[in-house]
Amino acid sequence: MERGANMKKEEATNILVVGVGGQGAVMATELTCEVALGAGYDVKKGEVHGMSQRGGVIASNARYGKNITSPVIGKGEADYILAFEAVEALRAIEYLRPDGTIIVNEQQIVPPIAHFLKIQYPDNVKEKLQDGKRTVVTLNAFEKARELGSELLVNTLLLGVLSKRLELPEKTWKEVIVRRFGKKMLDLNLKAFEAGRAMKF
Amino acid sequence: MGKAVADEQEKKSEGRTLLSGNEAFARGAYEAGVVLAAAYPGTPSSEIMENVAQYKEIIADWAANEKTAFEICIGAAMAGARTMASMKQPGVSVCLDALLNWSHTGTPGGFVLVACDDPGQHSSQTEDDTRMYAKLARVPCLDPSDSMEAKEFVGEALALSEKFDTPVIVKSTTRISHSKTIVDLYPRTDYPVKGFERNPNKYVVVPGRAILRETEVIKRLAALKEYVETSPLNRIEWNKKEVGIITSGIAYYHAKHVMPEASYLKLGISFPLPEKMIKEFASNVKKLVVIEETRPFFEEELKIMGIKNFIGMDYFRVQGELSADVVRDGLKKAGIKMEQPFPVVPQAVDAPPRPPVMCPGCPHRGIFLAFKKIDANVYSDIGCYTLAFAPPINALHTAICMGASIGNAVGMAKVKGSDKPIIAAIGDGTFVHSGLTPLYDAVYSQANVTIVILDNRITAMTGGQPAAESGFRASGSPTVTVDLEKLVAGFGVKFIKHVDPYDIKGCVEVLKEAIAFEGPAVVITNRPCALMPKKIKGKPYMVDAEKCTGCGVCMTAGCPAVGVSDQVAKKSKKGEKARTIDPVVCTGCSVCQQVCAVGAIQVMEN
Repeated sequence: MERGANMKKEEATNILVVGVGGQGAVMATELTCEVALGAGYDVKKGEVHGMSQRGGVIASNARYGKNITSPVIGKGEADYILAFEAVEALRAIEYLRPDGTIIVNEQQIVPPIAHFLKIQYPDNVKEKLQDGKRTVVTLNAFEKARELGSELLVNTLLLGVLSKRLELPEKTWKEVIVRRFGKKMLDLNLKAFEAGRAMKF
Repeated sequence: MGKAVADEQEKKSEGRTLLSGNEAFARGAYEAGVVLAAAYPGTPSSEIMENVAQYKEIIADWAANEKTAFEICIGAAMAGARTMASMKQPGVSVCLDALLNWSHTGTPGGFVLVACDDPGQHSSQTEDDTRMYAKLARVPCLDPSDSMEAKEFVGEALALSEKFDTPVIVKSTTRISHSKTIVDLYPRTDYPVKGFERNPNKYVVVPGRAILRETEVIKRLAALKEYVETSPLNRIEWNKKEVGIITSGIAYYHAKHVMPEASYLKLGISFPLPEKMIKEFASNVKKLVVIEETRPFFEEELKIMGIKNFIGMDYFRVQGELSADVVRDGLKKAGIKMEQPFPVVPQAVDAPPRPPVMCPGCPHRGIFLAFKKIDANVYSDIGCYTLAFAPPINALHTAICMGASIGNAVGMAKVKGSDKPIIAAIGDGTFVHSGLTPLYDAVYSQANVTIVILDNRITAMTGGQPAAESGFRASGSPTVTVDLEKLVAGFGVKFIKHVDPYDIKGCVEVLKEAIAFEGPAVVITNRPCALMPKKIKGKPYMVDAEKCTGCGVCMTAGCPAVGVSDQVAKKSKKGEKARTIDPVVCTGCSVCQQVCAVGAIQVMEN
């Protein structure tokens, strides 16, 4: 980590993780950053918490590479967006690079306010995201996690899908997962991570 | 930092890790030998104390409010102990009296105040700037740009504090406090508590003596202005000299992201400013740019120095948070050429709003629905319950600042300004913070108000920190609980009743009695927060498909567990969709059942 150095080019991989408060989006960013740190990169993780704990929008930024400056990803700068919820994928799409990849958990969490304001939850999220240039990967991680044994596995399953596309070593991912999860949930989480990596789209 | 010092530290390093700014402030306190820390929770500052409390070497507690936190720290510092107070920026307003006087007396033990601004008002009522308090108090303000600096600047601040006999502020922002960056960890250095030495000329702030202290403060500021010219915390990074950027805090990194080729004057100390250094920098670059967050503080200081020709805040943002995008747009608007390619921004797609809502099982929901039923004017306060202002609950009408509810209600009652019943609604934490003194006013003037203490036994909005009613301390160790009823009775309140906030009808009955009572009446709710310290999960409720008409009245409770089904309700008149309850999310509080007009909601049996 070069601190306070003169002009140094920033080479970064930018991952934006979005979701709804309580889904574990922040933890996904946290794990990704731990892996990047373990792999020897400069890392910054940026987000805002507070009111969003109460079912609001979560947007968490992971940036790693050489000489990372700002902890926040700008519009059009994300190499990857990992969306834990379908509407949040739509909200975040401005941040994706034209040739970037967006991974979308198709699970729908209808904002309680939508009923009150008589707003329809958008349909055809995948079609709305596709523009022919970017890569759009969709899966129902909630259902898949249930099949694997617990809804709590959405997180590691999605990280498995993401990790397959990143240049971070699989071994470091697993080390971080082992460090993070207690004995009770470790095997299931490793299984979910593997399942995510093995998924074909 | 000199090379010798750097090498020495390298040797002693205890490893490298990712820390948030708030974790780093706490680690900084640990490494720099802080003996006592006190704080009041407030986003984005709360995690500082949560982490400080994990170090057994530090005596750490949540205080009743920011002023008492600050005063407790003063007491410890008077004994020569290194101390740290932490709070959000509006909290500095609360402790301002103590800060201004403590600046006058000076401090024998290192004294640091970590104050967290919230540009963009993610979780705050105001978007103010701690640098202005530093100038008012004439104390140094350090301004870290990442977690490593957050940690190191706590130690720097304590050393400066002892050297210049002054409290020192370390200013953070939401981005610094909540972002994680790489930090090198070092061991703790202990500074023994010296013990209190009497010195009334210094510590007794009466006018005859205070005037002498004023002279000392003026001298101290002059010495600090000399010091900042050579402090390693302020540094110039020479690159191309077409553009020179004066900046600090997170803005430094946003600017580096957009324009690495520019020269930088990075200010680690944002008050007082190094005038000679700034003038040297300004005279060596073709275009001078000032990038700062919140208020045009540097900008005004530069103008006082006689520097007028620069690109300032008008080009960037006069309200809200900075980002690399905002910096890039501002530089472009100012006609500055940048070497980095501009990102191509995809077309935005419409997405429905998702504002924060009260949690399922929140004990505030039922009582606010009761307020709505009796159509009271509700003067409220700062906490999770402030969310009741929003649709669909819409049951509170003012929220000004911490503790304001009771005073506001008393004032309204005095001028008979409300044709509806007057209710002051205040959480237990906020009541202890600054509701006690206006309760005295209500009793003293025998104001006809109903004060509802929403006692969920925790400071919920900021993440579940304990308070006097919780029974445990910052470290988790048990302590006594304050009996709110006895406290209120001790003030002389003659009407005190408890209600179950899940029982709307029961609440309405008690509230009517309280409103009819002559003089101040107090109603205390008795359900804990649904999330903290223990997640509450009772038998979930369900919608009886045979009875649901799809009228949607259940949704006026604003519970995230209640949703709309794909199916038309069997008893619907106009083809309305049936309502559903998510059994995973439902806590079984029963409020929606009480709201349903046709008795279609019932407990789910297995």
